[in-house]
Amino acid sequence: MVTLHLPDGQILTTFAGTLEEILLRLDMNPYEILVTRDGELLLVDDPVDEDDILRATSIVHGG
Amino acid sequence: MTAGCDRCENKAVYVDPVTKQRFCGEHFSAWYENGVSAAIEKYHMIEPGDRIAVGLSGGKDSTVLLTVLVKLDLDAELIPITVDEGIGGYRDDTILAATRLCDKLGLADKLVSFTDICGKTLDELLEKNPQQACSVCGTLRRRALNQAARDIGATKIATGHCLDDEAQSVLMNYLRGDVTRVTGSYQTNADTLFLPRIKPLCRSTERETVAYGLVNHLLTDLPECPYTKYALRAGVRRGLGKLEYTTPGTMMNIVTGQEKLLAKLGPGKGEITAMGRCEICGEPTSHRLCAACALLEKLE
Repeated sequence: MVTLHLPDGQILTTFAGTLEEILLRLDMNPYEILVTRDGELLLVDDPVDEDDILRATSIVHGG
Repeated sequence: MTAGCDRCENKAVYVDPVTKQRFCGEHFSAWYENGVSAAIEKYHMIEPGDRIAVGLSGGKDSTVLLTVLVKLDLDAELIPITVDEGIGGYRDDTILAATRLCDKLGLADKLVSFTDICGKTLDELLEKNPQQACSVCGTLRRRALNQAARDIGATKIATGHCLDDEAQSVLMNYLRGDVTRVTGSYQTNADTLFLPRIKPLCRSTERETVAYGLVNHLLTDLPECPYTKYALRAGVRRGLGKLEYTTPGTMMNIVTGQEKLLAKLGPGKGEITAMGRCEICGEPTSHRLCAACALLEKLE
């Protein structure tokens, strides 16, 4: 399974696919979430494999 | 396998959703910095010798703003100012991030707090009215930043507002039916009373700005402001974010459309007033009391 670490500490798991497919499956807006793998920013059409560990950053800020 | 950067052999890490240009980290950074530089030039934001107070919260936008302004090596002095609103469980971490950034960039950060300007923290002010968090915080933060900027002899104040913030503001003015703001109210003597504000990131999207921060390893995990949930802006932001995903360029269209509207109306077609001084604190205002004093009076 793909592991996605969210900014608030939550960890989600899901199936492989492109990053866009994964974010939409998890009900996230791909415009509002940037995702890195091993510190490198991923494109929405980048493929994500089963064992990948991803880190999400929300572009939304307070105020 | 996805395609690489349009300008070199490296893997692309960012695609501009409007033009479909693909960038590696290095070329994306250069493209982003050029965009900020172009906005500064287009709107004549900075003149040689300016002493610029840079609002630095330690969050994503202001971190990128200060870093890019330093990198552009402008003929201007930069003085970061951090406002401590007094938000438990949130502000301490972001202030630490701001201090670390300033140390890294070799700049001295000036810290000013809500307790300095009104004797209370934001948490104390909002005990009975948490729903008003964003308007109270925004008004007092502007006051704190203005005061601190004047104290250090700044000629301008730079803030990290980006294209998303601008588009949200335009839309919120319509949603509130605020015709005065939609048509661009005009204060005949405002230029002489207020320190000019500049927004160098105003043509860069929030997504580009955060991507720049990630590509350049500028960002650390920080807590989210606990009051964000009360903001009207939050709903507008979500809606616009969805539109920007399905129809890239929407936010730019909103902002440039507003600029075209104001250009068509011409100066002085909106509400024309002359500004005076607040009866309590002496800050510029077109009313008896400035927004900050009116707010504090209401909260008491």
